[in-house]
Amino acid sequence: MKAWKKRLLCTLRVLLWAFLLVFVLRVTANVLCVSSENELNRAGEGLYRQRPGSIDVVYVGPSHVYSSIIPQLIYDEYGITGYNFSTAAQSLANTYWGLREAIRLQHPKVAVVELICATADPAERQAPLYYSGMARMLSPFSPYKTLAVPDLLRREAESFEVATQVNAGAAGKMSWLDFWRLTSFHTQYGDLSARSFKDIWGPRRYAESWGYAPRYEKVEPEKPKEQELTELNQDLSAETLELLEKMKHAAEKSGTKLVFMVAPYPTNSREDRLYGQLHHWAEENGIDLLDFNQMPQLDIDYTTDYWDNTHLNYFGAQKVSRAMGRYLSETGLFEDHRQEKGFDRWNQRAGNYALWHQVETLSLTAPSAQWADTLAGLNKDYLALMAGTADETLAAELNRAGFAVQAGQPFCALFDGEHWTLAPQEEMAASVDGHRLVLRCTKDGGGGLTVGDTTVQGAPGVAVQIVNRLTDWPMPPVLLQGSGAQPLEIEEQ
Amino acid sequence: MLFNSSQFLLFFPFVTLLYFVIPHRVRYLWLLAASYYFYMCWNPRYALLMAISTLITWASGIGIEWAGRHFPPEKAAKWKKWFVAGSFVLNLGILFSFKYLNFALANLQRLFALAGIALQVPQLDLLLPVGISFYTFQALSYTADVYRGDVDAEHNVLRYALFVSFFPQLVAGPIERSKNLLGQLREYHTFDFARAKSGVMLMLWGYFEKVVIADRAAIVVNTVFNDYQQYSGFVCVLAVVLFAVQVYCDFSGYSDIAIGAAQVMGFSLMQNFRQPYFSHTLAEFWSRWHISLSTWLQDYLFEPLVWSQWTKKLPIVGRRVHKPPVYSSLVITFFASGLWHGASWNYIAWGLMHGIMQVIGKVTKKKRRKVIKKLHIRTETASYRLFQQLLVFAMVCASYVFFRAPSMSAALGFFRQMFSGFNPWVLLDGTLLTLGMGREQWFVLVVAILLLWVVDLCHSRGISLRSFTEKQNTPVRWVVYLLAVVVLAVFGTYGPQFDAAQFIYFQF
Repeated sequence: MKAWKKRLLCTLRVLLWAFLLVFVLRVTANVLCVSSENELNRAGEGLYRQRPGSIDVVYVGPSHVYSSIIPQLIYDEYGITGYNFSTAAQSLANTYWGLREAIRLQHPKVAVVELICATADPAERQAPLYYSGMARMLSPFSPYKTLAVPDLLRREAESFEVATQVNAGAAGKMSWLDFWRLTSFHTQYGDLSARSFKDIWGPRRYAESWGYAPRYEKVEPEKPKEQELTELNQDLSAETLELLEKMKHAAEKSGTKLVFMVAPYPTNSREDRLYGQLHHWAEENGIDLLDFNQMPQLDIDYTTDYWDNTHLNYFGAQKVSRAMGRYLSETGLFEDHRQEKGFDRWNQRAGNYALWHQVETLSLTAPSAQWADTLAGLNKDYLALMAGTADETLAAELNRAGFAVQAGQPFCALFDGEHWTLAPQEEMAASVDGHRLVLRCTKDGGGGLTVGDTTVQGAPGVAVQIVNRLTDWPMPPVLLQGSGAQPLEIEEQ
Repeated sequence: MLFNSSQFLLFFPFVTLLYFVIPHRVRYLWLLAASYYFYMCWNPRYALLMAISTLITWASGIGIEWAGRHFPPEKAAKWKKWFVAGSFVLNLGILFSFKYLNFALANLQRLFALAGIALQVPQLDLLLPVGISFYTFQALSYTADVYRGDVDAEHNVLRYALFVSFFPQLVAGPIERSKNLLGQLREYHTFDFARAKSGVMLMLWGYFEKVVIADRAAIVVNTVFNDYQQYSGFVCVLAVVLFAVQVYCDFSGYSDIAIGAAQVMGFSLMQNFRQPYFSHTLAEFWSRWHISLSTWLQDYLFEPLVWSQWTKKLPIVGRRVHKPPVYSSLVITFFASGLWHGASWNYIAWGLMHGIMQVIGKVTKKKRRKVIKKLHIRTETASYRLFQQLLVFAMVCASYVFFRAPSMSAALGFFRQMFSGFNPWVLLDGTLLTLGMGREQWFVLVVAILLLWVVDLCHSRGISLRSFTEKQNTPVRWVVYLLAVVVLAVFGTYGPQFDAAQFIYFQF
């Protein structure tokens, strides 16, 4: 064989080998990342699946973005498309690189950057995710990934030095391997499930909700802890100011309007002081800062609008999203896409969103008629399980909604996203496609019913649970009895 | 820079690529620069020590050659001895200062305290230079080899510096001999795809041993040894057995990565391990374990001791039966081996234990044979050979308690805990899940150890799995290669959840 042919073959072999290696590693990474916690750190990844130029607004930042902004709601009400390009806790430098990438991908009219990261205390050593989360989410083929990794490593090393001066026990430094999904999530093989192998090309779950990650729990946040002011933490750091400048220039360069936001959460006086400085900086630089902490008209209710100490639940997020939508529409930069071609998915989701709204705002103590209608109207976004024994009233309500239930006869029924199936099986599955159903019903010999490893108290009645298969968050189970419903009290056997 | 660090994953391909791209005449300079950079990643100042050690041994080689040329044999022999002595004293002096001085001072203080004299000896704040014992021994072997006439003195100081500092084996061996490596540094190496592939496979296997087995076993070992008072019986036994696995995989893994990396560039390093836990006697164990150190000690310490007049004056010798003083030399050699591993009494105890066990083995050899004959035990059966292997493994494990425990008192305390109760049920009642690893991690560890055992078994029977793989069709080979990378990437103990664990032998 001629030398050039040999060389060509060798090169082709090396290239094919490299391609296969990247492919296998990428698929492995995707399989390993499918657990709710990991996927949350990739909530924004679906931005890569959006048609370039189809997103009007990108919302960039940490978990406060994906828990506060519902792009579908803003679209439904104002026809403005948006995407939450966010991961859990992240440094401001990560946010900066996220902004660069989001602008590169979509050239949006507006980029909204959440600023909680600007108030981080430099003396506190954060979890590794904080230094690498957003950069890890960037595509390995993105030019900004190549630039971001060394930049973030340098900043992390500097912050390590600062933190170790204050706290000798600070955790060790990071390496470039921490910026890749496979090397970061490789220990998650214990969480593998059937669903892990379904989305091997990347997570779809949050892409379907445009990066929004809803939570429905209601938790009253604790009062924030006050922090001692030190030379390090009392003012915006030089690094923060540098990054704000860089964000401003990046947006200006691409013709994107930069807007800052602060999602509502209980702040302490040090953070208030820094937000004051951020307001001042934004004003000086002609950038709008939507500080939702300073908007009493939002009517954020601490008892109903949070799911933990700092994150809004679905109900709080609706309030912020409406305010955000109002602000965006008032800028006059956007056209209403609701009637335009090419936005089918958004419009389809609008219908779904109505159902989401119906399901997820359904009171746990709503009349059983309302529950029956909701259960009958579920679509492919949902899984549901019904199990128990209906009395005359409840059976009538269920049958009115389209079910065929006999009063006094125990039954199990599973909604798999398409059909309701009355269960002939002795035991209904605890999960479908890897989505967890807390309930599992088992017929016992006497015709009674056991739900999961627990016994339903207050039977007869029908236990119900609905799971949103896109977000994988199971709603609390309820027990339907007669014409009413109540949260399902379950007791360990 | 650790072999299992992210920097090395960039460093090695870069160095190798450039090595084959640049002209042959400057390649050794490139490797020298890369090796010093590799070493200076730990502490740049200690590169100076290595340079001094290099210069001393290089000069001693030149001096020995010069004496041989310029003086008549008798006078030359005297000069040569002076050069050898100078090289050994200076190098061992450096090693002593950085590794053993504090230990010696602390013991001196204790000794005075026993005599009722309160002596305050200052402890020096010296950080142990990484790999000092390895490169010092390698450099000294050069002096000895030139003295013995096994190799010619190397005139090019930079090429010689590369011999001492060659990065794949710089900090944890194998301790190479000048007659093997020095000549290779002059050779012209072309890139050989098959050789490189084989080298990479060996590196991957080394990484598997290190990051999948050793570092995972270390989680349990550290949990138990760091808090040994809380554990007893079989948990302690399990920790020691896992430490045996850990230390083997850690060091053998390092050696495999080193040998594989050198092979990719065209160099052939000596084998350092040959399935040591399949040994039937302790002597055989030492011919399979850390071979480069064992043979070094044999060539440059044990044999000179056996034939020296000095050991014949020691009390425990075979003089009465007119044999060379093997036993005392053996004990002294293993004492030195223990001391080489660390400046601590538990390392010395570990070394002495091996030395004494071997002496006992030799002394009782005839009697044991008689017993075996009387009891009609067939020694050629598989069960007897397995019994021998288990016995040797148990002895090695017992000695590891001294090796792993942070101090002599901790080692003795650990033994107390180990024999404080008979509780085999802890292996099944969920106790193992409280030792720092969950069910999946245990599963991975057990499967990986089984794989290691199968591979070692194949190697011990002369079956090379690398050669076997290379003989397969392309799709099969590629699946194996891809699988190897994926297994390492997924089951490796690295990343934010784990700190890149040092190789155990770096501390020596």
